[in-house]
Amino acid sequence: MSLKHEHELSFIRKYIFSMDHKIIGIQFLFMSLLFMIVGGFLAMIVRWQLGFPDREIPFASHLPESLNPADPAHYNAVFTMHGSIMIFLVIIPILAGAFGNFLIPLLIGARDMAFPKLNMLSFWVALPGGLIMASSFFVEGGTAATGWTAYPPLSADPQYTGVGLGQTLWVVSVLILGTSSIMGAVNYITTIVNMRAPGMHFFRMPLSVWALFITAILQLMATPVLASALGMLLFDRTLGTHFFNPAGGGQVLLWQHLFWFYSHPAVYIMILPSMGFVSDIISTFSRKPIFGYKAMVFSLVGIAGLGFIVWGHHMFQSGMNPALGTAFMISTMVIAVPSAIKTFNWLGTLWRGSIHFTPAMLNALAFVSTFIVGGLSGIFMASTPVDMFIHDTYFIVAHLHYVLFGGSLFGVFGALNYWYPKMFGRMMNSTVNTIHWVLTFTFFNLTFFPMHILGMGGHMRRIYDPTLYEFLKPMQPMNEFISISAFLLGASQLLFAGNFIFSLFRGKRAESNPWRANSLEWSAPSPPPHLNWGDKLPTVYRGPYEYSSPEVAEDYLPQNRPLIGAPTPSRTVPAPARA
Amino acid sequence: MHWLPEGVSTYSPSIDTMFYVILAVTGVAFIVTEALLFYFALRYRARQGVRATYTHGNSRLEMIWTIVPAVMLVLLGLSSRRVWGDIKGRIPPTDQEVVIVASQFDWEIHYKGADGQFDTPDDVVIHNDMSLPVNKPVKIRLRSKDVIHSFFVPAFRLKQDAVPGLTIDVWVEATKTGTYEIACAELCGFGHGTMRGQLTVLEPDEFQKWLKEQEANVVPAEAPPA
Amino acid sequence: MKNDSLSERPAAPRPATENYRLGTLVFLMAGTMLFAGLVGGYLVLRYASGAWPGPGLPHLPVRLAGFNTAVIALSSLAFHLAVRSLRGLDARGLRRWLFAAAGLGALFLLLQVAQWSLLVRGGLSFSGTTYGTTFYTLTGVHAAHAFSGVVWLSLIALRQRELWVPAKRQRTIEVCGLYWHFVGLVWLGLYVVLYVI
Repeated sequence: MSLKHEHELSFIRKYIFSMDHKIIGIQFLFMSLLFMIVGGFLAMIVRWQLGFPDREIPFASHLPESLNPADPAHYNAVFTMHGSIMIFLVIIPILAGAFGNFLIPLLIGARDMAFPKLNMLSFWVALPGGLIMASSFFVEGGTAATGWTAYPPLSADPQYTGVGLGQTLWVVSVLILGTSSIMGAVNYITTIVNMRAPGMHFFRMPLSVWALFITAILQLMATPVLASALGMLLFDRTLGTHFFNPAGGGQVLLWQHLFWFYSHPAVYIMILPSMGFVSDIISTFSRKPIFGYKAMVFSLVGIAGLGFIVWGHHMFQSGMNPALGTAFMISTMVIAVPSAIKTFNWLGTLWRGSIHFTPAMLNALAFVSTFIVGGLSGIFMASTPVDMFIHDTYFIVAHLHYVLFGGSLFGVFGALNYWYPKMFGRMMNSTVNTIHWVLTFTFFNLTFFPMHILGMGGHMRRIYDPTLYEFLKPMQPMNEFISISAFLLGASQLLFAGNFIFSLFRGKRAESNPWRANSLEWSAPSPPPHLNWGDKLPTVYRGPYEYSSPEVAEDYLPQNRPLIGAPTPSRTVPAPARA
Repeated sequence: MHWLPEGVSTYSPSIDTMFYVILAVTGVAFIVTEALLFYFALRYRARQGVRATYTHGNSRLEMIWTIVPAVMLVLLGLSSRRVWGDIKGRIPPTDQEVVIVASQFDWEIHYKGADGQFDTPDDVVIHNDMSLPVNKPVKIRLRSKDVIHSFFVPAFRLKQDAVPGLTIDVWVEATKTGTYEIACAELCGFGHGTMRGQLTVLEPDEFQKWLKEQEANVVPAEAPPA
Repeated sequence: MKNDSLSERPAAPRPATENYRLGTLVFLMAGTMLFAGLVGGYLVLRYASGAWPGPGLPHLPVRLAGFNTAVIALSSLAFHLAVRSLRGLDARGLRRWLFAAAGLGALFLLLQVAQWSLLVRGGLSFSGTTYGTTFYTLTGVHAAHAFSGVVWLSLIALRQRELWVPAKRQRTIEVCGLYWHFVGLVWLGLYVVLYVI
């Protein structure tokens, strides 16, 4: 019917206001990568200030006034925007927006999302949201300067920071980005529940899809709560209400409860998709079924469920009732269990595999290795008395970067390496990306591991000059070391960026299944056409991890390949509509 | 092992012990898992003619690596709870009280003054310079005038947010005389990084002497501090 | 070009709940969480403060709001009857019940406005006290939802002139109905939280 017609769409309908999930995914990808450059640059400014607090940034004269950290108020603005951009405009949109959009229909065998127009809208809402956040660099008073957590009363009243419009724009931007998230989540949930290809029952879905599914549920349930809190903050800022102002009967801690009710699940929104990608990558390049598939699924579900009852562990020292602190400590300890299960299952997948060290696999292994550190360091903060010492020190900065850079971003690098051929129909240069991986993994650890030690020394976060404190002075050489590592870490990313752009135009043409992988996206051409498959959707006969199966001579067995005469692995397959 | 800075409060040893216990537990977990990761990656790298083992998992292993971490973590939780209850669940009876009122970017430290009562004109009010007697529990009452601050004395392992609208009591008993630093641990505005105070722990008689001197200096008109 | 038709290709199994209905339900879950967040904030502020309402502030008009609860419940019922007419292929009945639902919805909004003006005249301002702020915020956010519902209902009713209902509109009516029942249920919850307990 309309398959042919689709190719005659104008450039604008095809690439700008596209309703094709793959184009929308790629739009999200480019948006987040551009913001990643901004966020990364801000991180470099932060590190310059901390490593060399009494030296001016060499290029300071070329920076907008609002970014020069020599003024402590600007330092606050710089790290606030680093965190806000990386969380709201890089990690969440790249995982849920870019990969969620690109992968979900392809991996479950659907032609597109359930609601393509809503999908298009979700991008065209997110982009203005991002631009609003970026525009605050240029308004009077500068950007928000209250950390990405925006605790009132600091964030509620301009007199405390001197930032007026910037903070309001921040609130509005996050509200808009949240709306986009909810639109995406509605689409993902409906698509995954309703539009799986024949034979693709829930327990045959790749773990990437499971992870994106659970993530969508978290986004759906948690983001509106953040929206309610942001609404209150906006009212406090603009309409003179007193939700968070004790002088008018408000409650300061209310914000923290609502904020962390969203933001703790949001932490999982930022890591679960990467866990899914990494599971798929590790299985593919170990040429071995994922170890404990159902345990992997249930641990994802467990993390998401428990994720809603642990928010108070961000508030142990906030003045919250200490007895509540104990309850939150126990639930927090319990949530580490599913993470442990996942780690052991990844190890189990490697065991007796046949491991191919492609850049995707190397990044996936880096994910596991750094996630172990990030997961274990979380246990320190979970313990209420230990948290009393290390709360709001560099220990938490180390922890969160091990999870969000070491975890999420290595997952993203892995996924980009893995799915790039499918997205753009070309291969990236794997030598360059292997070098990129070596450098990134090395400098990542050199940058963030020492922060644990700073934290153990009591080094507070969010201070702009550690040398003002006697007890921190001996640690200044370590701060310098971290800063230099961070610059090298930043510089290493140029390799990836260069390779990414170069390969778009000059990369080797990709075949449809370059990794000899099983899941459905590899049965479509690279890049897949609009509506993904030709006339017939693939039919699914088995789970996605049948590597090295004794049933076939090759070491992989795609989900959609019928085996004549051989029984299908599961007896509960509904008869495929028309084979 | 002394990787943490010297602790000089009665509860700092139990916090440090808890830290080292967790460090030991997580350290073992870290070494085991990272070693396995590294070993498997090397040992099972792709070789010509060697096919991966076709297995979907093992329920007994799943049980083991669910239950063992769960038990370890609950044990860590329970032992943390004891330490936590000891620090935050009670305030030892004491007549030595200090009120700290935080504001941008200043620690205002109140002592009772000669009449033994707070909120009277003869209160001793000092900025950013706190003195305490050694070996005596002190109750610290935290307030904030404007935004959230966090009273942090690394040497005591003590950290507690000062929240506008709330009055939060904590306590500390210093075990060693000397000079330490007070820092603000919650972002409170552009001066957050400079919100530094000094803390001196004195022998009880020296402390009393010091307090008397301060009381003598009080000019009653100064009572409602600017 | 109709992407909707793709899900109905013979190759794909027919889902138990159609996309549009499932999507709407999922969306309304997000709406529920929005109100949950606002009500959570309300409860924290209410139970942390001593007197509620504070001295000199007017009490909420419980009876007026109770009557209004009945109005929005009847509106939901009218919508239910509209959907029944739709299933019974009674286009005229459909139009009539849609207008009834929209009219009752408009009456609900009118009474809400009356209630606000009553309270404002009684001295309850929006930003003066958390008592006033939370009340106006909760009822205001709900009224915004109700207002868009009434507009949507009226548009559907006005468009429905023929004696038959196109398939696309049938779906729109169902989606709108789910939304309208949601608005009614949220009000019921708010009534209990704000006026009864």
